[in-house]
Amino acid sequence: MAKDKSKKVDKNKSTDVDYMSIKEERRISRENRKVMKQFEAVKNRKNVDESEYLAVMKDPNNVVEFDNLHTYFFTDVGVTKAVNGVSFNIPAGKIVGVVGESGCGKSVTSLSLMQLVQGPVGQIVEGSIRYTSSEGKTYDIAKMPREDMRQIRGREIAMIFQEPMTSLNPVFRIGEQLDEALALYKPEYSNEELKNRSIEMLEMVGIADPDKIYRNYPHELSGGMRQRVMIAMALICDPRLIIADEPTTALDVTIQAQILDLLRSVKDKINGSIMLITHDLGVIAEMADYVVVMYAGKVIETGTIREIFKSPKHPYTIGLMRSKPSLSTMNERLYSIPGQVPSPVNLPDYCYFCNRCDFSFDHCEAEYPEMTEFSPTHKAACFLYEERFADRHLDLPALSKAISSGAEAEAARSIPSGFVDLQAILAAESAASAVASESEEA
Amino acid sequence: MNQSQNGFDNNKDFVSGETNAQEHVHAQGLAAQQEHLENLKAEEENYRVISPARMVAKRFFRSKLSIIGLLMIVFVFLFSFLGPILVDATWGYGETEVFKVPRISGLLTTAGFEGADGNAYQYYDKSETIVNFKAPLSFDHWLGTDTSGFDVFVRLMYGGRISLIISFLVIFLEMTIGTILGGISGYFGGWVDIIIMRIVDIFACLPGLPILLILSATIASIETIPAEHRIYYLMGILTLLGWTGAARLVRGQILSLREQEYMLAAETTGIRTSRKIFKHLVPNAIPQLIVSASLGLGGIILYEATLSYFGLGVPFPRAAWGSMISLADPSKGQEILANYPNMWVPAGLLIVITVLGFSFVGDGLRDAFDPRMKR
Amino acid sequence: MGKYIAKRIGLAVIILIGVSLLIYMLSMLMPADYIDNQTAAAVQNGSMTLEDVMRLKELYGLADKSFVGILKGYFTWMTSALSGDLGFSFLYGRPVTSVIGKYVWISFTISLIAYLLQIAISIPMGIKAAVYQYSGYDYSVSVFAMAATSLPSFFLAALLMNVLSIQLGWFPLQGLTTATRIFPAGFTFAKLVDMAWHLVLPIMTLTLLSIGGLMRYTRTNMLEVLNSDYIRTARAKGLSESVVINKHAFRNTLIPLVTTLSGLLPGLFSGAMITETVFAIPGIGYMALRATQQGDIPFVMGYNMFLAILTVTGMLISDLMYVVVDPRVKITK
Repeated sequence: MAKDKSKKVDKNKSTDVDYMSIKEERRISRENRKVMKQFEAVKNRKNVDESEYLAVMKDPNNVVEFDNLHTYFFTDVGVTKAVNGVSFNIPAGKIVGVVGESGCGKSVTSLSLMQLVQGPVGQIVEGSIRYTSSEGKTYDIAKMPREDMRQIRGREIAMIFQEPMTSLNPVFRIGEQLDEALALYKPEYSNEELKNRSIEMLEMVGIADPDKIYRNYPHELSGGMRQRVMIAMALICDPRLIIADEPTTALDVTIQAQILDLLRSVKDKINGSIMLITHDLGVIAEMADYVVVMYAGKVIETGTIREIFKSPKHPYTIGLMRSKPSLSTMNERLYSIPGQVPSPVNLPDYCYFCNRCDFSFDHCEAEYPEMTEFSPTHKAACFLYEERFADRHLDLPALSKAISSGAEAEAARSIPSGFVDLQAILAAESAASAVASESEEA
Repeated sequence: MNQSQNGFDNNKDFVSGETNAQEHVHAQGLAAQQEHLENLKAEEENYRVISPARMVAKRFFRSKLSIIGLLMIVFVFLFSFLGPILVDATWGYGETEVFKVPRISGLLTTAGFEGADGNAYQYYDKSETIVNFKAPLSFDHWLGTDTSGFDVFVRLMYGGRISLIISFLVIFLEMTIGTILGGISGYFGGWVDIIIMRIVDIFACLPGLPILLILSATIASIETIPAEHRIYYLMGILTLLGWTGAARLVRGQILSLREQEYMLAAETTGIRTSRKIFKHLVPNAIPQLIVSASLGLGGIILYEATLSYFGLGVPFPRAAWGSMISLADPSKGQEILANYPNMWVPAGLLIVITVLGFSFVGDGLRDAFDPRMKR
Repeated sequence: MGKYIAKRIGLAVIILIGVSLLIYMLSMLMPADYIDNQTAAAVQNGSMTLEDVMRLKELYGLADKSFVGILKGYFTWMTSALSGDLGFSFLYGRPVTSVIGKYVWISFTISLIAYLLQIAISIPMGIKAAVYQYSGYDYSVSVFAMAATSLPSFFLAALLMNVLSIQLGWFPLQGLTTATRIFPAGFTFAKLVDMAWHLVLPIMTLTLLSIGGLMRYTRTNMLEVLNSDYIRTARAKGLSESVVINKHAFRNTLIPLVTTLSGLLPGLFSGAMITETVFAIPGIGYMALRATQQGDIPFVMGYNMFLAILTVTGMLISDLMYVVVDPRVKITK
């Protein structure tokens, strides 16, 4: 297998090493400018008829349906395919966790949903994002002009960002920033009403002295407090969907738990959905109903929380599970998936993960795998599970071992959250002991 | 409890490596590690082959403005350094060669006046004189000759040469003094820092142009200094007024770098302080120094031109761009300003080209060194 | 807050003392002073001896050019300067303070108008260039700004004079009033119009020279702000693009702009030496240049000290404005 890998590397070398000439770069940036201009012009149109971006949901129970979304960045070194054909749904009233390494396109997916991808470099080039508003109309956000998108931002879909320290405007008081968001939603409110509602929201997110905080500047608050303010700001217009982009990454561990609790309680109060983006499987396990695993701009596995944690299918998901430290696997070296995410500029036309995959076989370099369905909710994009390769599952024992050790790690870790029932834990424990005895035998 | 015991066991195994099973695990780990390393190496070959210098060059040449700026500077350099050599080799004269190009200058004066009879009269006076100077453009003298009969085009070359030499020497001196004082100030901190920074503050508060004028006037009048050497003193003065920027820059850089871990590592090796400052700290400030130097060059050229404009720079009959423009000073009469743009416009344009070229290159370098700073 | 201000002022005083000492020493270096120039002829024809000249110099404290002598002279000068007496200008035959007081206003008028024009032109341009980064507008404005800052002031002045004054004849060439016209003493409207007409070209020169720098500064700061997280938050709230830029981004860009621009305010009194000289406007800069050329040491000293005070005041104002404008800056020390 080692031989196999070096061959792959050699192949990469021959294609990657010859660097672009400046002339070529010029040509790229010239072409990019042309493309970007077109996209921007379409986005900046005014008074566009609604019918142009009306759509129909595939499943009326969903709030958002991503369908084959492609978001590219037109950089000088080439087109970066940050999101490259992503499809998944966010059902009403549920929490969908999106997980993956940094740089896999999670954030760009969420920014695409808000039309906040940094333009003119970043553009949604293909696919659709269907969204059903509170009025019952379904829009395709990917086709929506900027002017109309403003009606959705904030009041329909709100967003909580990763960096609470820098996400609030430093020169305006907290109250001003809250009132401003609310005033857009309720223009008929008087200043007094705006203030009362803002203070009410601050109270709701667990801020002890909302009157004082209302008058404070952002820099006078701690990180946790600021994130609470951000959540209050997101909630103030009763959105149907909250996007939380790594809401706890920048915070202390103790504060993290509080913020997660808050998010969960908030979801019940507003009866909306949450799209939770994180690289932390622990957060996912505690919060999410559905999990979407992303890799290099594509969804490689989706499923309910149980399906993903109890029987992960894609080798990448398995790797993610195994690379999570847990209490019961103290003796083992913490697993790390070898290699790096491929450069999003020159993505191969075959499985992006096969260079790093322990279970790859020859067909992995032939084409990109389709989604294999395991249950109505559980799908994964891997050839290992395709019918036509059923006889090729050479590494299946190792795979199942890896799965069990991953599941076991997860089970051990997620005891407090109560998601995994006792039976699962017992099963995981027996699996773990089986692994231990196996290694001893060897 | 459990945890600590485990950790201890692990350690012991690692050291003794007694049992087969553990050895096996260990070997497996090693193999995995090896493989991982190999992968990393391969990856490195894929992504990190370009050296930092090449990366900077690449980013620099990506910007059109940087290339235009570089071309402008190359042009000015060739013009002012190669030009005089070519002129000297082909025609054998220099900047102070006087050409008397005789031409007939007609002067028509008209005036209207009221005669004694109350009628209006027109008065004409047509005179012709032979003028030897201020020749128009010709094949022999591309930009004509000036009020003293010097060839304007040739003087432009010599003026450029002196401007460029001065600006480069001054910027080098400024950066050297600034680096040394800023480095000492930033590294030692405390009282040393306070004193040096107060000196910097004081020098930065000196009114630049008036002081320059006073000092150049002083130097111009000291008889023991030959006119030829005046230019060196001028450089000293320009340096004296300009080094504070570099000192502040280096100090700021060093203050932030001093706290980083690698300095602690350098500390533990027990090397000399001067080595610590100038080998480990200052090189980190070099990109910023290069950028500020290339942006500063233009400023010095402007200063030098101003001094020459007031007749305090390079002494006559030596050529300088500033003194060439000063021919157009309307206080000395409007004739040249109005009728002889060939004497002063080219010099001004060359100054603009040079200063603009340095700004473009400086900007390009800044973006190339630190793409995050792109602005 | 009080302590912070006191500290800044203390620092300013220290800098001023250092600057004044330096300026005094440099001025004393001036080889030929006004007394030499004026008495040279008299010494030549024997109506005055060198001893007489020395006595005259002694009178003005200019005789002793040794280090100790200069130091002594400095302290004498400093004590009288502290009581508001900057000495007596040889060239203008009046106290230095009164010369400055008389000519500073015309300089201030020119600089103030140029300053306001500069702000009015370059800030909107800088913001637009930042909002449409990499657009044609951005590039052309940036190149124009850099080209304008690369021009030597005397060359720009000569170009403007050639085109707008000589060739087109729109504006007068030099001076503050038309020399051939005689205005009645005191204020008249016609005189004001005539002066304004003469000031157009100098103001144009100063404005053109300064907009480039401010425009680029605005653009840089605006770009930084536009890329910050809180702008994304503002957009995510559903605010319109004009509110995002004109309220959220602009308010943050204002912080560095206000501190820098307020720091420039005292400098408006310092006079534009080159521009005033080229256009022969009798402002403080023109007067100072003449005094420098003539070796009028007391005036040169007084003027340079005046400039240093303006610079230090500018720094002080900048520091204080920073505290006022930016809510994040808290004074603890």
